[in-house]
Amino acid sequence: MKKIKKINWIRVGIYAFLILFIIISLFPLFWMLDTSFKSDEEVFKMPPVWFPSPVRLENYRIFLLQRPFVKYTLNSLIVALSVSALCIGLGAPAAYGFSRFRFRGNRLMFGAILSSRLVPPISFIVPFTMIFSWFKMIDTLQALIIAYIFFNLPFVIWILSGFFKSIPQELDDAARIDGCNNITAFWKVILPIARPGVIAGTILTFLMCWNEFLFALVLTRLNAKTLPIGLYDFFADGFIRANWLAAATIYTLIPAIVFVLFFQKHLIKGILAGAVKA
Amino acid sequence: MGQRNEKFIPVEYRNYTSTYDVLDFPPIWCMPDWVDAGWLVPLNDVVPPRMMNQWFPYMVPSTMKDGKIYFIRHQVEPRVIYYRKDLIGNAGYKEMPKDWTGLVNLAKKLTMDKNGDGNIDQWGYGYSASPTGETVHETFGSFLYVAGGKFWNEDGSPAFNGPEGLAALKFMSDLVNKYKVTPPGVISYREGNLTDLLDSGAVAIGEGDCSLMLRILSSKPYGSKIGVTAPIPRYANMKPGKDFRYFSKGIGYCVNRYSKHVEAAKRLAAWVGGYEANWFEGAVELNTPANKAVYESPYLKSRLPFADILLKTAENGRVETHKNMSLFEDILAKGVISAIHQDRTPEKAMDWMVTEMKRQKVF
Amino acid sequence: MKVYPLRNRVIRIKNYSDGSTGMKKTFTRIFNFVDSKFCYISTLPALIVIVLVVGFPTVLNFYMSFFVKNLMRQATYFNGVGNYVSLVQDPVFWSYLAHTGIYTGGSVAIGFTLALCLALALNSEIRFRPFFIVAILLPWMTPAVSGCIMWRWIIHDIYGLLNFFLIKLGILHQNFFWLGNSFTATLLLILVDAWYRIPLSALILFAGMQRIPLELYDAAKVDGAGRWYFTKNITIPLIKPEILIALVIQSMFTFREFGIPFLFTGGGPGDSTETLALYIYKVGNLFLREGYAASLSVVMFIIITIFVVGYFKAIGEKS
Repeated sequence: MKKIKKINWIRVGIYAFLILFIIISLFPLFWMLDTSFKSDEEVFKMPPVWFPSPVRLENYRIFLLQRPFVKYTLNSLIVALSVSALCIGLGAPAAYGFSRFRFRGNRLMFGAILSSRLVPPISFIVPFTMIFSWFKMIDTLQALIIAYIFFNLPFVIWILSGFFKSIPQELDDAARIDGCNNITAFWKVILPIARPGVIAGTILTFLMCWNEFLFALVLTRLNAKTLPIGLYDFFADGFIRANWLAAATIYTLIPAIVFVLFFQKHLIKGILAGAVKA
Repeated sequence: MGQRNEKFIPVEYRNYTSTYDVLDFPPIWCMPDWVDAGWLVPLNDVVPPRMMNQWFPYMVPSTMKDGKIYFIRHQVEPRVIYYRKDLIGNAGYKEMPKDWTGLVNLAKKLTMDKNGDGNIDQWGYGYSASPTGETVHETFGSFLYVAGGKFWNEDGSPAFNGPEGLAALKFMSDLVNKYKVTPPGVISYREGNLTDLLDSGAVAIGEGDCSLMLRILSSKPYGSKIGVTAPIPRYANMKPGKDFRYFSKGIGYCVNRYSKHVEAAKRLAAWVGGYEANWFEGAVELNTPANKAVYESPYLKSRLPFADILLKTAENGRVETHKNMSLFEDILAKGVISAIHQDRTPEKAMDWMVTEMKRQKVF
Repeated sequence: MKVYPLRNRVIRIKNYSDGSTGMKKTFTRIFNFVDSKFCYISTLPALIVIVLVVGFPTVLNFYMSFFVKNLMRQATYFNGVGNYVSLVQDPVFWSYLAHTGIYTGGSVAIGFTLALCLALALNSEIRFRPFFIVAILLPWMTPAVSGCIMWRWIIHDIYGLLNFFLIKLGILHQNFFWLGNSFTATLLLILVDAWYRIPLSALILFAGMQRIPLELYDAAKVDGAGRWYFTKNITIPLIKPEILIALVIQSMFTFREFGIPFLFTGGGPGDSTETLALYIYKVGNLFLREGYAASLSVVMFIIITIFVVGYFKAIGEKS
C-alpha cells in the first residue's frame, strides 16, 4: 500500500508567493537581457520574439563604440573606488572611536553624524553648484567624489559602529594585555575581526556611487559623466534603438550582479548591520 | 549631444569659463536670455552684408537683437511630414491631402487593425509631444504656424492664445481623443521614438524634424517606401509665406564672451555661415543649409533627398525666439499635454498657460 | 580632558620610548601622542569632513534661501523671508506637496505590506533561503536609470509586454497608454518605487525576526498556538524596532526621491506626478531661480525632520 503523503498547503503557498514575487520582480531584467540580443526588426515585432535568432552580441559592441561609454565606465570606476577607499579610511577609525571610547562630546558628535543622513540630497544641488563653481570644479571627478562622501561617510560610520559594538570588549582588553596599545589593538585585532563589515561597507559604498544619479546629473557636463548619466543621455534623446539601449542597460548592472553572486553573505550582513544597529 | 546640454550652459557661464569657445545652438532656445545676460559676443564685424543677403530673410531677425548679430546660422531644420507611399496608395490617394480635414480622413482610413484581434496595430498619424526636451514646443509650434498663427505679437504680448493657437491645440487633442487616429502615447514620445514607430510600420504618417530624414529613409524594412512632404496647412486655400508659415528651428554658431580666443572663434563662426561650409553641410552632411545660394548647385540638389520640399519649407519658414525659455517651455508642455490627455479642455488649457506665464513673469 | 576606555584602564606593558636615534624618538613621541588621544584622532577627521561636506552646504543653503538669486537675470539681492512668503502663496507648491504625499504614502503602504509578507515567508522553514534572499535583493542594487528604462519598456503602449499580456488574457481590448492619465501614472510610479524599496525593508524585517529566540516558537507550539496567532501576537510585537526603522527609511527615502519620478514619468502627464524633489530640481537647475530652490529645500528638510522625529516619538511613547 502506498503511503499517502500529506501536503502542507501553507508551505506550498509560501513557496508559490516567493516564486511569484521573484518572477515578477526579476522579469524586467530578463526581458532587457532578451531585448539586448535582438536585431533591429525583432525588437518591434508584435507578438514579441521570445528567443532571438541569431543572438546578436553586436548590440553591445555598437553602444560601446557609438558614445564614449568606455570613458563613462572609467569615470564611474574611479569615483566609486576612491569614494569607497576614502569612506572606509575615514569611517573605520571613526566608528571604532565612537563605539569604544567614552569621551566628552561622543554622543553629540555621533548624533550629528547620523542626523546628517536626514538632509535630503536634493537640497544640496544649489549649494554644491555654487561652491564648486567658486573653485571651478564643476565637471571634474573631484567634485563628484566630494559630493558622494556626503551621503556615504555617515552611512559607513553607521554600519561599522554596529559591527564594532558586536565585537566583545574583552578582545580589546586581551590585546592590551598582550602588549598592544590603542592603535595596534584597532589595527591588528579588531579590524581583522570586523573584516566582513568592512567588506560590506566597501561594497555598499561602491554600489551607491555606481548607481547615483542626481549629483552626477547636476555636477557633470562632458568630462566627468558617469555611467548612469551616459545611459540617461542615451535614453533621453530618443535617437536610439531599443536593443542598443537594452544592451547598455544590462551593461550598467554588471557590478550589482557580480557582487550579488560573489559577496552575497557580506552584503546581507552589512545591510542588516547598517539598517538595524543604530 | 545629449538633449540636456543647453540647460546647463547657463550654469556653466556662472564660472565665466572658457570651456566652450563657440556654441552651436538653435537661437530659439537661448537668444534673448543669453544676450541679455551678456554672455555672447556681437558678430557684426565678421559678417559681410553679402553673406546676410544670402540668408533666408525670415531668419535674420532671430539672429539679431538691438541691431547686433549674435548667431550665424548654418542649418535650417524645417518640420516635414513623413508618410508611407504604399499605404497611401492602398487608401486611394496619390499624394498627401491639402488641408487638415483631408488629413484626418486619410488618417482614419490608415488607422486599422491588421491581424483582427481588435487591437489597432497601425495608426494613421503620429507626432511627438514628450515634455522633456523641446518636443512639445516644436510640435505645437508647427501646428500653430500652419494654422496661420504665431507665438508672440510685435510688442511682446502672447499671440499663441488666439483662435489659431486654439485651433492647433484642439486639433492636436482631437487627433488623439476624437478621431482616434494618433496613439495616446504621443505625449511621451520624443522625435527619435516617432522614428521607431515609422520604421516599424506602427504609424503611417508622422510629423517630425527634417534632421530625422536620413535615418528614416535608410531604415529597414520600410525606409524605401517613405515619402516626405511639407506640413499641411489648416485650410487648402492658405498660401505658404502669405497666410501661414512653416516652423523651422535652425542651428547657429555663437561665440562665448569669456572665450580665450574670441577672434579665432568669430572667424570660425563666420566661415561656417559662408557658402563653402553651407555647401558642405548640404551636399556632404545632407543637412538643410541655411544659405539660399547653395540651393542653386545642381550637385547639391542631386545629393539632398527632397531638396525642393526642404527649400520650399525653408523659404516660407518662421523663427521666433522666446524670453525665459525653460520656464516658457515647461508651462507650454504642461498645458499642451493636459489638453491632449484631457485633463483640461483646450480652451481651459490655453487660459491656464497664459495665466501661469503671467504669474511666473515669462513675458 | 580625561580619556578612559569603557571598562578597564589601559594596561600598557611595552614602552615605546626607548628608541635611540632622533628620528625614532620623534616617531615614538608622535606614536605615543596618537595613542593617548586615539579617541579624538580617530573620530575628528571624519567629523571635520562631514562638517565641511554636509554642514557648510546646509548652512549655505539656509543662507541662500533668504536671497533672490536669478542666474538668468544676473540678479542677487536680500529678500528676507520673501521666498518663504511666495512659497506659501505658490499654488503649485501645495499641489506638488500633495503629490509627494500620495506617492510616499502609496509606496510605503504597498511596499511595507509586501515586505512584511516576504519577511514572514522567508522566516518560515523553507529551503534555498540564500537563493531567495539574493533574488529578492537584486532590484535594490540596480541603478535607478536602468530600472526605469526597463519598466518603461515593459509598459510601452505599442511595444510593451504588459499590454500584450493583458490583451491575450482578454482584460484589455486595445493598447492602453499607462502613463497617459494621472491615476495609472501615479499608481505605476508607486509600484516602481515599491519595487525598489521592498528588498531593503524585507531584509530589515527578516533580520528582526531572526532575532526572536527559537525557544519562543517551541513554547508556542507546545501551547498549541497557530501560525497566524503566533505571528500576530509574538512576532510582530517583538520586531517593533525593525518595523519602525523600515518605515522610517522607506518613507524618508521615498519622500526625497528624485531619480525615479524624474526618469519614470518625468512629472507627467502634464504635472500630475510632479513631486517636490522634481520641482526643486526644475526651479534650481532649469529656471535658475536658486534662492527659491534653496527655500523649497529648506522646507523639505524641515518636513522630513518633523516626520522622522514624530515617528520615533510616537513609537517611543508606546513602548
